[in-house]
Amino acid sequence: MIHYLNRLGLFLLLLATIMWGLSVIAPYYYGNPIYLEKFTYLEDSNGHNLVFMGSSRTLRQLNPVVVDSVIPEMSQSFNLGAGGTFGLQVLYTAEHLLLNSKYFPSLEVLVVEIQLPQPILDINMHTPRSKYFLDQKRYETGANFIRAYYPDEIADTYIQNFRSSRVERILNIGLVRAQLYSLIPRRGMGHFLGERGDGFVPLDDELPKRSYVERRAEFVDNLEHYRENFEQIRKNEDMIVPRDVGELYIQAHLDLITIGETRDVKVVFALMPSGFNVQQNGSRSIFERIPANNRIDVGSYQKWPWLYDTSNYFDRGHLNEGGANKFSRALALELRLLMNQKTVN
Amino acid sequence: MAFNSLTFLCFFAAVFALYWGVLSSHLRIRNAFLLIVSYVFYGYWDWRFLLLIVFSSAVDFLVGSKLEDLVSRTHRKLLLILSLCTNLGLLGAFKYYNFFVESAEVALAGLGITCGGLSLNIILPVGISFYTFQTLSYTIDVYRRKLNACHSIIDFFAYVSFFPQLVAGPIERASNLLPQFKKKFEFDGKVAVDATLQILWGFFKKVVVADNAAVFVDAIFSDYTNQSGLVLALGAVLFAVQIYGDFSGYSDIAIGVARMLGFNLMKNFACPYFSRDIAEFWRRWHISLSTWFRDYVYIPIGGSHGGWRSKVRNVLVVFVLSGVWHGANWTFVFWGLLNGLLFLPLIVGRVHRSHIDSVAHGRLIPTFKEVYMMATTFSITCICWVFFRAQTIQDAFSYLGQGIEGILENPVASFMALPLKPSELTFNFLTLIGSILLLFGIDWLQREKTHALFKLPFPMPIRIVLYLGLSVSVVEYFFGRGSFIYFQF
Repeated sequence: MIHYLNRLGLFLLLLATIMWGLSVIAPYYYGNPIYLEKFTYLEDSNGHNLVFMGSSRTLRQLNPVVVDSVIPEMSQSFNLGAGGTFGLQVLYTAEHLLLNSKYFPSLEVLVVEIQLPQPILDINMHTPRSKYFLDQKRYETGANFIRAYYPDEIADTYIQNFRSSRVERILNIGLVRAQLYSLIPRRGMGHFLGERGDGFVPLDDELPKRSYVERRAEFVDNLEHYRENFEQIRKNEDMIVPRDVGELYIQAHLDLITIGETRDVKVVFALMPSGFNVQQNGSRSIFERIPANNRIDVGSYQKWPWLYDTSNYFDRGHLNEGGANKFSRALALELRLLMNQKTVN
Repeated sequence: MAFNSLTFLCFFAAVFALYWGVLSSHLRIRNAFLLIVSYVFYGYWDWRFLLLIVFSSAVDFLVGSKLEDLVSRTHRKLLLILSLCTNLGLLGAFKYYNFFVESAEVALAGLGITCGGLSLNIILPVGISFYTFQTLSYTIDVYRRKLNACHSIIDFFAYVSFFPQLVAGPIERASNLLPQFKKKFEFDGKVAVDATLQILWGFFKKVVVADNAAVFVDAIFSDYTNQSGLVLALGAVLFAVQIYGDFSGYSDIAIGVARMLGFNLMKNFACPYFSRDIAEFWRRWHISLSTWFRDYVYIPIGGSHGGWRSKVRNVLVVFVLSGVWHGANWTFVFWGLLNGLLFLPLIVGRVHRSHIDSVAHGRLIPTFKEVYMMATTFSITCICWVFFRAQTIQDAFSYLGQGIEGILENPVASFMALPLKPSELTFNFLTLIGSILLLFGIDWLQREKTHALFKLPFPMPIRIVLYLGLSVSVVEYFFGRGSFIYFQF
């Protein structure tokens, strides 16, 4: 028995060493084809000094051309938004970006969308995107958020999913081939760089594709419902009670600011328009804990009522190109104020 | 719990440690422990499934005990009928009720009689077909006085629910497995190493080959009307590979896990795709089910004795029943019938046992004739599998029709539709092709051995590299698709 266990143990040790070795020599995995596309492009492009990171709300709503026109001193902005990315993924990638000076050597300001971490749902379990970012720090942060934010009976399931994904990450299960895939040129590479190569792709540009036609149609068919929803947001804005998102998640934001400072990069967190079905109370509590000179609020209904006009929306959660341009201008103005710019357009 | 889950690996590590570390020397405690962990394993899907297996086991335990005592043939027959009705009744209710009701509704609708709403929302208990057949084999053998009744309720319940083979076989005969619950085992390091390798090979077949083939198979079958002829042919071949990898992989894991605990289960697959005719295929595919039908249905109804009419009837009855056993859908019935029709000429011509030895016995390279026969049998099998995989019989016919038409009309266009342009799809496709070549390469080399990694004829360093390569690929693909195809049966 002992002899068998010794042999098995030795074999497993060898296997673990190989798995670890593969994870070390394999290329960095971005977890999202849009990140891969944009980071690959940026290796040859180093002039950008203002970068935006976040989910599809950033990708679809932030037009660098408009931002550059409002802040001419920061005339080289780039939209690094990627659809389908959660809060923890964005913070993980932002940290990777700041710790590697090969990316954006001229970077001065990094604007990061405030998002909730999101639980790992069953449908995403065992996929590379559900675990590649789960180092120990991100795992603890995610678990801490889940405990603070969700009722116990739901939290237990979500924590279990985080734990399983963390184990898979430690054992490097299902990641090597994802890392290898990223070496292969993909069809449609370049689409998410946008028409001007600044990373902005408004949803209107996707319209010939069937899924986007359906999304648009759903919004148009239920316009009255969404108007009422926005009205609810307006009424409730003063009553938003910041909700606990866990200390570690707040700390993760503060840590990113500190990491930015080591590279002389100012990290700014932006509160976005809530759209439909987004828990403002969670985002608001993060916003309120971030130092005043590292945050901007472009989500307030009362401050930006036109951002909650359905005519500016493409679907229930994203602005259309016209809305995106207005929003980009609003964000640029807020950012310029924050940076204490003197010239006003 | 599924074998391809971390939960199972942790579960089995704990079972293995307790089994050999503490319990193996106390027979009754060991068997009670096996019963408890088997119920944990099964109840992990849904604890309500346990009620059925406990009920089924209890009925057969009592019937078996009574059968042994009774002398009257009439009473014994009545008891056997009770067992058959209970087991087949449960199977029929949970697996076939909706199928029969819906088929009857359709048939009556054809006669202008409408009746609806008789279908029930029933969950199909995992592996019910497997343990029903296993427990039936016990009652029938006791009835035939080929086996003594088991008087230990714990041993019998543990036999019915033995977790390595509970949900997808091999369907063990009581005469093979039950006596092993009465034996004490000593841990054998060599057997454990060999069993570990068999488990590794099973995982490779399941998570690397079958699960990756499934990605392509699902994509092709779900959108077959828009695929070219060659892609449809590829879909059929890949499904043949998928179902072999999935099911024989499960069997290898099951047999390996049982061997780790000292138990020997029967071989369930013997390189079926190297068969030279359909009769040989059925001697090598899902052996535990084929032999079950042979012993408990085919031979009792007359087997290959009698005139050609009774031979035809007996063969078709067995194959149609085998199809029905696989699932409550007309596609399975047709698949069974089709295999029966392919088998008939061999049995009527008395050539169904002309290929008993392994192909190219004692040789590495097969003759041209053997290659031709294997290729023909494999092609026929692939065509049959289309009926097994399709949603309806009509879908299967149009899949095959479109495939043949596409290849004959425009073979170049068919070829161009294969995923050969540089992309992630190509990467997956080439990985799959590589793993299939490895699977069949090793299977070919080892086709006369007990399992594919048994005493590989390579030097030690090459063997270690192969085991490590297999392990890395298994770890990498461990969480592919989830459940095994045969769980649904």
